[in-house]
Amino acid sequence: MIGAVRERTLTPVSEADLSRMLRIRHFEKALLRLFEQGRLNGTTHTCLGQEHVPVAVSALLRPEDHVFSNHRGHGHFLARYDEPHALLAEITGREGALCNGVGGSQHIYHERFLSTGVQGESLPVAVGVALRHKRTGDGIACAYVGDGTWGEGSVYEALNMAQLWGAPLLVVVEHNRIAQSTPTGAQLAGSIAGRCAGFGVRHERVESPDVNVVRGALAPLVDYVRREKRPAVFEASVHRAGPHSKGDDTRTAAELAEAAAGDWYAHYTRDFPAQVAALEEIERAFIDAAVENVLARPLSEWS
Amino acid sequence: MTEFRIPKLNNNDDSYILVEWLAVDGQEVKQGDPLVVIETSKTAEELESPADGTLVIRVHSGDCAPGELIAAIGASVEVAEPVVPEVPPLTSGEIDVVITRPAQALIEQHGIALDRVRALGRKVVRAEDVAALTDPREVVTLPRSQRQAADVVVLSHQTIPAAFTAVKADVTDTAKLTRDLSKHARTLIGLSELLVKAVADQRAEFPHLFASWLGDGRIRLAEGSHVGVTIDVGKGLFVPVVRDADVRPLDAVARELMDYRMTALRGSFRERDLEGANIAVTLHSEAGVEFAIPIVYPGHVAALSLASTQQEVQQGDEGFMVRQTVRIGLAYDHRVVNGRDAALFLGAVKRLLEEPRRWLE
Amino acid sequence: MRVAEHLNRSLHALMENDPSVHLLGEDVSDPYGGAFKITKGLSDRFGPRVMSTPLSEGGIVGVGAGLALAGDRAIVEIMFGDFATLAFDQLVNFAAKSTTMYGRRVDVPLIVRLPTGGRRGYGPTHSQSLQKHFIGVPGLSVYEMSPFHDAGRLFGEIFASGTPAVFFEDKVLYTKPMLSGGDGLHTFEVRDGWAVIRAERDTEDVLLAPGGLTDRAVAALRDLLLEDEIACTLLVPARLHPLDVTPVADVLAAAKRVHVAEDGTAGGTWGAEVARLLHERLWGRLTAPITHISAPDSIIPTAAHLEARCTVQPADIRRAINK
Repeated sequence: MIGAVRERTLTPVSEADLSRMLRIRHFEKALLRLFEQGRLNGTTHTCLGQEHVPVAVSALLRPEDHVFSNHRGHGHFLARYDEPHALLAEITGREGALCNGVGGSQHIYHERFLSTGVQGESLPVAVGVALRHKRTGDGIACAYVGDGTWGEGSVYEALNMAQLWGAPLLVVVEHNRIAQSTPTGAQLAGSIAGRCAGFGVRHERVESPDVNVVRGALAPLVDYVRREKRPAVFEASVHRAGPHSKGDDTRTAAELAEAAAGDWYAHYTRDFPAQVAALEEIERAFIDAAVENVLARPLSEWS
Repeated sequence: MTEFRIPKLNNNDDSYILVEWLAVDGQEVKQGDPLVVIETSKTAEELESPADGTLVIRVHSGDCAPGELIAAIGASVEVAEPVVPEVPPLTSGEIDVVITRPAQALIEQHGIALDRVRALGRKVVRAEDVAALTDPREVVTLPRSQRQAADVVVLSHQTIPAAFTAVKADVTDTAKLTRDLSKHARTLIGLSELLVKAVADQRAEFPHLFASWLGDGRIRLAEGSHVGVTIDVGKGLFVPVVRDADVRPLDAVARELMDYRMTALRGSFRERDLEGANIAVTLHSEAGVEFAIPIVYPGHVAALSLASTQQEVQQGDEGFMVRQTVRIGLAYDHRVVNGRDAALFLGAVKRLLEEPRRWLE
Repeated sequence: MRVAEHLNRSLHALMENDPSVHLLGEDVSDPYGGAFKITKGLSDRFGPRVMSTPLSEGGIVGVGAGLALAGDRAIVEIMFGDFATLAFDQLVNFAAKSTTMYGRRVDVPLIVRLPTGGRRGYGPTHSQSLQKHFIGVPGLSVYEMSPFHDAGRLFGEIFASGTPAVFFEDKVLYTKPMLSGGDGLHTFEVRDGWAVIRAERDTEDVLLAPGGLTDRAVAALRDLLLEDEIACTLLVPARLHPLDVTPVADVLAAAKRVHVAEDGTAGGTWGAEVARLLHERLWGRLTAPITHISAPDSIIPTAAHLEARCTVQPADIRRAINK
């Protein structure tokens, strides 16, 4: 015996899920690289460390469902629509862009996916969309928010109306413990669970880097929202492995180490090194080719 | 009602601070009761009520000045009704004759029958409409051509600061010569024709008189001598243009003027006949006209006038003799040229009119 | 018929003819029927398509935008236009922007109705005319109810345009009659979104004013003509922004003096924007700078005599035009 056999903590992962998580990871890393090279206009918010949440969510959504996303939305989009070329073209203002380069990273409207850059703004809108779903079929509205978003009054106006009127609204909270640079403890009194309880809104919380565990916890909630036509809040505790946007991380070395240790990527490379290595090679090459392809395109046009 | 004003408490301050009232608003107070505490830069003083009655506080606290009214003390409080402007109700209804208030006053003053007011055929009858009914004198609208002339004249007077100079030319010899010239050219050549040609020929020497004012101290020079000539055969005043009169021979200029006279009689000028002049010659050949001041056409710098020929007795070397003279006037835009330029220009024109032989050669 | 009743009937007809129309607002359901009774009878007739909401102006405008985005058409009533500030984000950053910020045209058929204006003694937070704060927002139209315009047609026009709109309704105007034909002195003509009110053709004075000022503007016109012998044409646009003056180009072409009146307070106003637009168009033909009449730079007090001082009165309009 050369050493102790470490016990696996993760459940076996499907190739499809792992590929998608790695594809998002390399998409985000490519963006940071492009940013450093001065080839991205403006700013970008990456979801490093949070990729497994939207991958877990998307498998439970139907084509007719609406997704509302926020400033940190690349993973939300790529988990739902496997169109990295179109998203990259949008972020770099190239031909084939989702919104002709007008919206950029934070303002995407594609089929039934919509993101905006104002915190909490899309929740009341999602209630409106959910009300139409309730009337016309079994669709739901799914809105991603962060823990920082809970400072906005619109969140509570929306939860109140959704619960009053029975709107099939699923709020997915990616609780990454930090709002830009402010730790959650310094900006959120009480808890998200407590706030939901105040409105009588069902709430579930999960803390796991395992995509299957996250999905397993969420599945009954999605079912509840869809069948009962009631709102629910799903809180996934995650680690933000990267900066808020770019070069603006003020966390200490210890805090950064903790975030890195909590990253799903660290867990999967430890538990499934060969599977990760093999798929990562494919995804890295795929994203590199996508970057090359998109940057060679003409600039987008807007009339 | 007694006014309660702040007395002058010292010579240093132009304002004090009202610290507090010792009685409340609406309280019955007696003369001599302490009422209010006023703080100056040095002291705090209590002021006493000047009268018996109900206290109505105007200034509750803060800055106040000597002489300022801070309260009133009286038997009863005055009740003021809020004044809010009234907006008359909106209505829909039929339209009838409307008579303004000033018009109505005139109708009453002059005792005008309402039928006559209605007969005006106006929906709104104003004072001036009623005044017309009280005035027996006829009102006439000028013909269109005169209204247009009026616009031109007004514009000239409003926009061009014009000055005027006149010279006298001795045309005794010229008068004889025009007969030869006419015969030679097979068309009428008189003083008018000579003057048009003489003016046109000055452009090389006096380019500013053919220019047009652009504003800001700039002018645009002309590319040819295009002379407008007034023709009025009783069918309205026209100013047809003899184009390039400096480069065309005298007989050609004379023939064109003759054509214009015929056109004026037929009253059939075309737009292009009347466009593009950059200087004007106005003719005042009616007998007895000694001299005339022309207007400078908008867009021009100069206008000349030719008066009628006068008989004049002059003393010469061989005693008294009768000479024929004319006055040539020049109105000019004083922003562009001065009196000296005007005199030199007129002098050159005068010489040509007095010595027309050069055109025979 | 009073303007309030006309608005109510227009909403009834709109919801009757188009099942995709939904209406939300605070206290809009029967038997209360809205603070100004504009939505009376709607919830009894159309059931769940009419929703009384929590006191969440931002939230309900967002819900309206969500309905509109998903394929419905939404009308949101804000009880007092003053509270539109609470929905400013949803209007400016979501509803208006969404029409263009995704790189292609996105329709957001949303109307936010705003009972507005003073002269009812409701005080500083219930009497304002906030139109100016919505002027020049890309993707947002600004309308104002007038006694001349058919509200149903305006609502239809807004929905058809796909551009969200704020729709101001003067609270005093609610009690006034709808107008057509004339008033015995002026004729009332409606054309392409404008009302033309005049006693004579081609007047040298022209006054532009939103519909909420109609009673005071017409009163001023009457005095100007009967007392001062000045004939002035009143132009009332239904859509304040973007303003299209083409339909009244003939009236403006005859003008020598133009005046703009509005209920908003002085400073950065709708009227200033109109003056800018008209100066470009009429420069050289006017004999005086465009006159501007607005409420003073002040909050609106409650007491009647103080409120009168801080709101535009017929005498203010007459004085400005007479100058």
